[in-house]
Amino acid sequence: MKKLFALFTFALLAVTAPAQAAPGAALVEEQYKAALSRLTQDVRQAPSPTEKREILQRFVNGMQDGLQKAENLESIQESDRETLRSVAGRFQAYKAELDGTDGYDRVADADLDGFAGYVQQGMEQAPMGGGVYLSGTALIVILLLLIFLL
Amino acid sequence: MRLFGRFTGPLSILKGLAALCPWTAALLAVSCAPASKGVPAMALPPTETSAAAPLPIRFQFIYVVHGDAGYTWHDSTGGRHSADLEALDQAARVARQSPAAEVFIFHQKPKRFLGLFPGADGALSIYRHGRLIGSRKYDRPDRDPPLAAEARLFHALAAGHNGRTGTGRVEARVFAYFGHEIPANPGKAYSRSRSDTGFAIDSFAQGLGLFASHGNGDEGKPFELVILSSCHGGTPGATRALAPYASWLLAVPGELHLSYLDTRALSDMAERADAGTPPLEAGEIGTWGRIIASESFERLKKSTVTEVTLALYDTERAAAWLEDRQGRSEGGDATGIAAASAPSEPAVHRDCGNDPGFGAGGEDAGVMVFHQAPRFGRDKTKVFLSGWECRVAAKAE
Repeated sequence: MKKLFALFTFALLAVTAPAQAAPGAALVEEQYKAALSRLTQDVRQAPSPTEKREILQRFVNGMQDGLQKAENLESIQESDRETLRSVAGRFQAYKAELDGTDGYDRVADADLDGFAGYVQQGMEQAPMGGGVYLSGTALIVILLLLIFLL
Repeated sequence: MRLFGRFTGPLSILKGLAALCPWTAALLAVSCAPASKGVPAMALPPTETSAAAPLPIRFQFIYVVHGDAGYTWHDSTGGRHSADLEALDQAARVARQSPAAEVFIFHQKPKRFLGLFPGADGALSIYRHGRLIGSRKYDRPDRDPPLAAEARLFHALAAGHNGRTGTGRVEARVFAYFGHEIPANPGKAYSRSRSDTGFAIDSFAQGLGLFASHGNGDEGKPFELVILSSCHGGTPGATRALAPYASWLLAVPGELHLSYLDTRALSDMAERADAGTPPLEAGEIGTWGRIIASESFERLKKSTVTEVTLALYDTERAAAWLEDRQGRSEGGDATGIAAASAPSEPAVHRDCGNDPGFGAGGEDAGVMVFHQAPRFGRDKTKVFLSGWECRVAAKAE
C-alpha cells in the first residue's frame, strides 16, 4: 500500500511539479507530519525503553543520512539544498542527544516518550512545512525517505 | 453559517428564498456579489434598525488568519488539527461572547481549491454585539499590498467608528494575526498558492496602517494591541516596524507551536455591554495584553515540550530603548538591531541579550517576558531574559 502511494505521488508530482509545486508540497507535508505523529505513537506504545530507543534511532539516523545524501544531489536547487541542510542539522542534533554524544546528555529511558514528542513538535514548527517550499525533486526525496523509514 | 452564494442554483430558487426572508435576501445579495469588485453594502439585521437606542460598540477586534500554507499539526494522541481552522473557531468564540464589540474575522485561503480550481481567496465573517451579521468571500489581488483587501472591507463595513449604530469613539482596537513567521525581508513567497514574495514585516506593518481611521476623532495609532501569533515575531526589527501602529505588541521571540496563542480573554474585556460601565483606563489595555499572554503561556506550557517564549511590549518604551542602543551594539547586524534588512544567509535565532552591547532588555525596556526552556536540546538550561531574539549567522554558533 505504501509503495503504491509512493508511485501515485511520484506520478502526481511528475505532472505538477514543473509548473507549480503547491499541490505536491501540500501532499508531502501532510504525509511528513502524519509520519512524525506515527513515530511518536509508535514510541509511546513500544513495550520497553530498548524498543523505544531503537525506533527513534532508526528514524533519526535514517532521516539524517538520507537528507545529507539528498543535499549532494545535482538536481537539487540551491534554496532546497539549504533547507535540507537545515533539517539534516536538526536530525544530527537529535541523534547526538539520543546517543549522548557531541556534548549532549544521553536521553534517559524515562524521557524517550517526551523526546519523541520533542522531535515531532520541533519538526512541525520548523521552516520546512512552515513557510519554505521545496521543488518537486526535493519533495520526492523527502517522501521516499518517509516511505522507507516508516 | 454557510455562504449562501457558494451554490448559485437556478435564479427562481433564489428569488423564492428572497421573497420569504428579507434578512436572507440581504445576505444573499452580499454573498452572491462578485468578490472585491467594490464593496456592496451589508444590510444590518432588522433589530438593529429599530427605534430603540443602539448599543454602543466599544471595541473592535480584527482577526486575520492565514491559511494558504501548511498548518497541520498532531497532538499527543495522534489527533490531527488544522491550525488556521482552529484559530477561526477561537475568533468566532470570542466574537460570540463579546456583546460590546464588533469583530471582523478574515481567512486568507489558497487561490485555487485543491490547487486546480480558481476561486476567491478570502472569507470574511462579521459579528456585532455577539451575533454573526454576515459572511462573504473576497479576493486578494496579487498587485495589492498586504492587508489592503482586508482594510478596504473593514472601512466599508465597520460600524464602530462612523456612527451608524450611534456609538461614540471606540475604546480599543485589537488586531490579531495567525500564521507562519512573517519574514524579516522580502524575497520568498509566503503563501503556497501566490507569488507574494514582497510580504515581510515592513509591508505587514504598513498594512496595519491601512486600518487607521482618519477624522471622526480617531487619531493616533490604529491599534491599542497587536497580537502576532506566529514564530519569530519578537525581533527588534519587528518591534520597530510595528511600534507606529500599536501601543502594545504581544509576540513570540522564538518558535511557536501551531496550537497558537489564546485570545479568549478579549471577550472578558468586551463583556462591558452596558453603556453605564466606565471606559477602559489609560494603560488598561496593557493589562489585558498581559492576561492574554499569561493564559497563552500556561496553555502552551502544558502541551509543548519545545521552548515557549512570549513577550508583551510597551511599544513606545521598547522602541525608544532599541533606538538608544542602535549605535551601542558591538556587532550591529549580528544583534539584529537592523533586522529589517538582516542578511538572508543561514542563521539561527538567539536571545539578543547574549550580546553584551545589547543590554538586558526585559522590564527596563518595557518588555514583559514569559519563558519556559525546552525539555531537550542545548537550550534546556538557558534562560531568555531580554524579550528579543536576534538572527545570528549559523557559522557563529
